[in-house]
Amino acid sequence: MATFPPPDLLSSRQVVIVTDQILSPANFLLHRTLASHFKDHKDARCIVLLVSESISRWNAIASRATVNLAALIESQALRFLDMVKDIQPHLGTDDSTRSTLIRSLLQEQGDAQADQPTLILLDDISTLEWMGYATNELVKFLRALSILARKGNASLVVRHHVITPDTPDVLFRFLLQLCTYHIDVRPLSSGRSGAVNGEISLYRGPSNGTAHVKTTPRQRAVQYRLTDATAVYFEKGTGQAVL
Amino acid sequence: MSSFKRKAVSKQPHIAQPGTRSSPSSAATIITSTGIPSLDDILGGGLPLSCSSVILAPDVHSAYAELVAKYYIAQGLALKQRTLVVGDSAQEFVSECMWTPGASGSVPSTSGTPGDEEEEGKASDHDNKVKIAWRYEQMKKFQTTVDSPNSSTEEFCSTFDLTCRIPEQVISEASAAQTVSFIPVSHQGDASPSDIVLNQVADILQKDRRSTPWATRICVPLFGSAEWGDIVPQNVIWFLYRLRRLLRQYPHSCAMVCPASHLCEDQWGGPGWIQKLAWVSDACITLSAFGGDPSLSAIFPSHHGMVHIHAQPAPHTLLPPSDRFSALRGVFASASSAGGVGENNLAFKCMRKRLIFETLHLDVEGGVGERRTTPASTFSPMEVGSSNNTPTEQLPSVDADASRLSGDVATVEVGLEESMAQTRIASHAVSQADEIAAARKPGKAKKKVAFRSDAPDLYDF
Repeated sequence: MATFPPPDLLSSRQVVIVTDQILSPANFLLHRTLASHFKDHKDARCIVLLVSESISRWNAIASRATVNLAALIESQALRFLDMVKDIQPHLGTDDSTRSTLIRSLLQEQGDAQADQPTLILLDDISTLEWMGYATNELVKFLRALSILARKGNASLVVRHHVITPDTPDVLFRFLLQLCTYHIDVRPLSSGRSGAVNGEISLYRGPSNGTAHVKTTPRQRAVQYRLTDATAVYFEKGTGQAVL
Repeated sequence: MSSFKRKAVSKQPHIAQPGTRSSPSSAATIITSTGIPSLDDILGGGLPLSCSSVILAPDVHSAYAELVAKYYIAQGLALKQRTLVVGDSAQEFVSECMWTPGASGSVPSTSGTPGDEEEEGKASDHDNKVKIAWRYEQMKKFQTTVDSPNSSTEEFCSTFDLTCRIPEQVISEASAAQTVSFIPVSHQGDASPSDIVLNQVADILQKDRRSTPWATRICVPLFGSAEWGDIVPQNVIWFLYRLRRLLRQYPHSCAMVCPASHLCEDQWGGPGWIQKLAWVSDACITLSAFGGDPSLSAIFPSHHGMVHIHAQPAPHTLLPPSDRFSALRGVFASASSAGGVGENNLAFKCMRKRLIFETLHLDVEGGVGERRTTPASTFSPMEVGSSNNTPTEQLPSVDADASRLSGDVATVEVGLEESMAQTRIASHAVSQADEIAAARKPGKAKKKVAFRSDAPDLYDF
């Protein structure tokens, strides 16, 4: 039975991007990352930047993984920050939402103790671009966010939806330059299946200096099958349907 | 004292609302019906409250998305749920909905002619009489779709008849009781119409939450049509995104959006447009009808279009309930049978009385919609070889017949010159062939498939 992700992947100062497609959403990885972050570290802190996932879904799935989010929110260990206001952005411009967000994050980082393992999780960057935020502004925001994470010894996880796998868009190319690791979740090329939901590869990014986590190239991608609350991982060709 | 403790199951309080029930996958997920049992099955039992669904119908020659929307509205009115319909001609749209056949005051549009269902029922009765083998009697009957709702599930999903129209009285009563509301698409100042509509919807949901948390269904037929003004892809994404946020905020409501047909293609929104729509909605399904492509309707004569599923709702679980519980998609069945095969191909067809989604199968004969239990009009080549056939029954193969005859004649006329024998054999064979052809003449003329013109061809000199 394979496991994913490797244990040291989300150690401090890592910037990890997660890419997925509509037939294989990577929500399960984000939920697992949050749950394992709080299970592995006693005094962990986490900031979730909400774009697509709702708090009720975070709660429902975390409760199945025996993580009590309500208690964590109460103890200020976990914070949900909404990234979008109820007014549509003017096309190609920026508003002050994210600059105030960065400021509040900086404030929080100042309050936090340096040895507390912190995770910043942005659940979706693509939808912001699709609804009209300028790509350049999003690139600036991501750069500021990654610098903030590195300064505060925090790790950053950003999810990006790939809709044209053959022609990567500008935001994806920037994220690839920024990241230390890239997790790629793909559907099976043969279409949907009940036995295998998709496969995961792990690559090193260009910003990776010293960290050495064993990568998973696409030829040896880890396959997974979703259940209600978690995912079951197995090596390629060793699924229940195959053996 | 035992060290084992029974784990207390924390059940969320489910206020009984008309026409809703818990999802089979999670007690926290409350589902309601779309009005079409087979679509409910595809969605994993029904559309969950707090979720949005987008029905795409890119074919400009048909309006199947609007038909699905009418089912959705009619179901809301039948269950007396709070129903919000968005659009300048919303009232007219609701008045065109279908209704249940037995209801008092329902207006049948036609009467007296036997419907498809009656014919199907007769055909199935006929098929039931045919016994193949005793060992197959216990086998489940082959089905391409799910069953119609029976009396026990009637309060969840009603049985609508497309030949019946909704009575005016039902709409007026619902309007008086504020069960149904019509929200026009208005243009005021700089605000976009989608923002104005969503603000109105939010106000109504807020007001409802204060009084009674009814299950509320929101329907936006023809989103993005001319009445919405000039919209760009960012407006569509923003509308769907904010609508979904609104539903999360008011989890007793659900929504169905049917964009205008020109918005349902990648040409309009750029590469990956359909995927973008699927990402900002919970359920996203394309009904690609065959209206624009006659060759497809020739290949699949018993269906009106294909169904493509892009996204499935999963409000409280990682795995969409549809993957586990949908009989039509068959994803979980393939997993449990260790076959590892994918999901079924799905298609839809609109009969005289109802719209159904079903699994797509080619017919046994390769796509010909022929009823196989009727006596065959032609005979198979096996029968031609039998010895006691009368000449009128001897059908197709003249060559085979001639060779058999030639064999008989050759045994009789031994000793003649070889060339004479050959000519006589040939003449016998030809005369026999003529007789067979004469016997076949009164039979059914063969259907001509190819196109033929009486006018001479351009290069026919």
